[in-house]
Amino acid sequence: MSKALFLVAVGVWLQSLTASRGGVAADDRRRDFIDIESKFALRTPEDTAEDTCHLIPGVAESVGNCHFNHSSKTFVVIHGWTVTGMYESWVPKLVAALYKREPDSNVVVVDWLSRAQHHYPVSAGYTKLVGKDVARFINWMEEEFNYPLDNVHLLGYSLGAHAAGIAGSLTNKKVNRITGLDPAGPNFEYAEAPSRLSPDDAHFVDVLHTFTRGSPGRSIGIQKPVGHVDIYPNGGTFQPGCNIGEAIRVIAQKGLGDVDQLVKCSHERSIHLFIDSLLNEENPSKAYRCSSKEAFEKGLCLSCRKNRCNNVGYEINKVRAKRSSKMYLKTRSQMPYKVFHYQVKIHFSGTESETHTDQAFEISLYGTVAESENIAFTLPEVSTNKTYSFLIYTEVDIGELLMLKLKWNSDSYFSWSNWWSSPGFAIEKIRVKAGETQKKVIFCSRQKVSHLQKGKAPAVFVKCHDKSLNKKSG
Amino acid sequence: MKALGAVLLTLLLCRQPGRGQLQEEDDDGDYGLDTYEEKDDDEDEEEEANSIPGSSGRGLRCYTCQSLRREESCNLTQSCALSQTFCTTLVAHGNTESGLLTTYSTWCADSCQPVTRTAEGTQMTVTCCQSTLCNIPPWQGSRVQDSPGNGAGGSESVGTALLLSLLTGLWAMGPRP
Repeated sequence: MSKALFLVAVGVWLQSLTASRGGVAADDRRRDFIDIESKFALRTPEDTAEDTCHLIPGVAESVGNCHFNHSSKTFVVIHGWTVTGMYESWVPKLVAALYKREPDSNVVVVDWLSRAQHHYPVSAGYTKLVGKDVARFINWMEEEFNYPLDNVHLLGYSLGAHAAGIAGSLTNKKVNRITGLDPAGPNFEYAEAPSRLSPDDAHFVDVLHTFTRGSPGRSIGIQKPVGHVDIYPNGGTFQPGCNIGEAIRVIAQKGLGDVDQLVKCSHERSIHLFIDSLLNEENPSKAYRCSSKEAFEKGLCLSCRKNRCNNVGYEINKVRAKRSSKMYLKTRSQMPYKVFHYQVKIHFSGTESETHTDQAFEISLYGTVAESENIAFTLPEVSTNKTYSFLIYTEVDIGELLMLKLKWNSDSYFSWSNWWSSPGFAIEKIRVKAGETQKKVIFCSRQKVSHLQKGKAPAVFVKCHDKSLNKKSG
Repeated sequence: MKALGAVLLTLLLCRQPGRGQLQEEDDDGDYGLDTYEEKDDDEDEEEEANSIPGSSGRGLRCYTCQSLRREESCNLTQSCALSQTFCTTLVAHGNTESGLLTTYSTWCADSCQPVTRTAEGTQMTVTCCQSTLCNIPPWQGSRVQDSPGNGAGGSESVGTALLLSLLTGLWAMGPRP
């Protein structure tokens, strides 16, 4: 009896021994990862929209089966909160753009849809688990295949940005880069660095903030800088082309099916800005470091010295400052988003002291290849013998500046004060600094001094000096 | 010996006009500063004036007048900074409040693209040249000007050659452990 039992035991032991050389070990390995709920689909340039092949942590064959390219870089795309429980329409667009720019790369889409469709705070809490899943997947790739983490670039949108941050903090070695696309604000604005995206999560963390309107903690996008470089297009609060008028136009054209797109228009703009940077390689938009949105609006921050400007999106220069730096730019309302920024400085002279508030002007810039006419701007105050600086931008590349025309608009309502004599100032020179070309141009009046009168003919100024700023003289 | 060689090599490299290196050095620059943007660093004229002593005798000399009329002659010239290898002129011709006017501006420039363009009835013509006082207003009698220090530019290349020969000399006898 006891002998028989012993034999059975030995048999079982032997069996397990032989089996462990094959299937059981792999199964054990698989079991180590069985609690990973997120799925990792390696999409292909041919099929950017469907999850046809999954990389399964613990199953080495899955990586070969999906034709993972071990010598190329890998993009890991992490989606955000979803009402519908489905991928949003931007996912295939981003995948396609990544493959267009880096044809040999691996674009992995993380599917955490099942956790992403709960009430927002519940899904927000799940970012910890998703981040952990992603980290375990990446660590497994490194341990199993020696895949270098320096080839890994995580891209996370909204809640996905924080999941990416948590993933980055849990990998064996730091991943190369995390791009946060308008990281979610609610539940994260006041969170400590370990539970949200932070500069420690990768060798380089860059963030686009596109929908930070509202009070901190309530705005959809996080307001505070959370990366090495934090870019706030159009101030970060709200994006052009995302207003109600635009919404009505789109509904009229496409029906109500895209309404959720409109709600997230500014939020999702972060993704489209990044896609733009992938597709329009030769014309990257530039962002400029600035202490505040207000200073940027005055045109005071168009410097590129000491890395004060940077490319937006994929071709960003990996500048790791000791503390986060906020960068700003203006954009168009649709792709390509790039605009050309100019600081204009005007000194208003006159013999009599006058002060006017909220004055409307129009400026036209004429360049070597094109012109941009009647750009409206308002000066909150215009006083005699004071210099004013402000920012204007053009959607077209006008080339090198040649001429400038300035017009002082009359008030829209009938004004008695201007009836007898319209106010005016003498202007000798106008200084313009072009952000994109890093040139300072001086425009001179052709009659030494021009008289700019409210509601009267515009004054014309022609270039009389220019200077490159990126070349140090002497 | 090797260290000395390296020092010489870096010296040599630094002499090259590559600006890319400068930017890298700046990378970890003054991020503590936050108010620099507000500072008005736009005093072009002063900058230009300051650049004269350092560069005089090496570079180009150009006329530098702003919005000159036909009847006026330009008496201002300037030694350009080393990076400024062009004398630029811009002639604007067209109607103004005070009638048809031709005005002329000249300056030192580090890049220059000749172009003619008419905008709002004003024709603007940019011309570029690269010799001493070549951007003289067309209606101004050309005066033969002394160009001080056309020959002095050689000192730099002599220095570079010296460094090079030193370096090769060092390497010839250096790497013997």
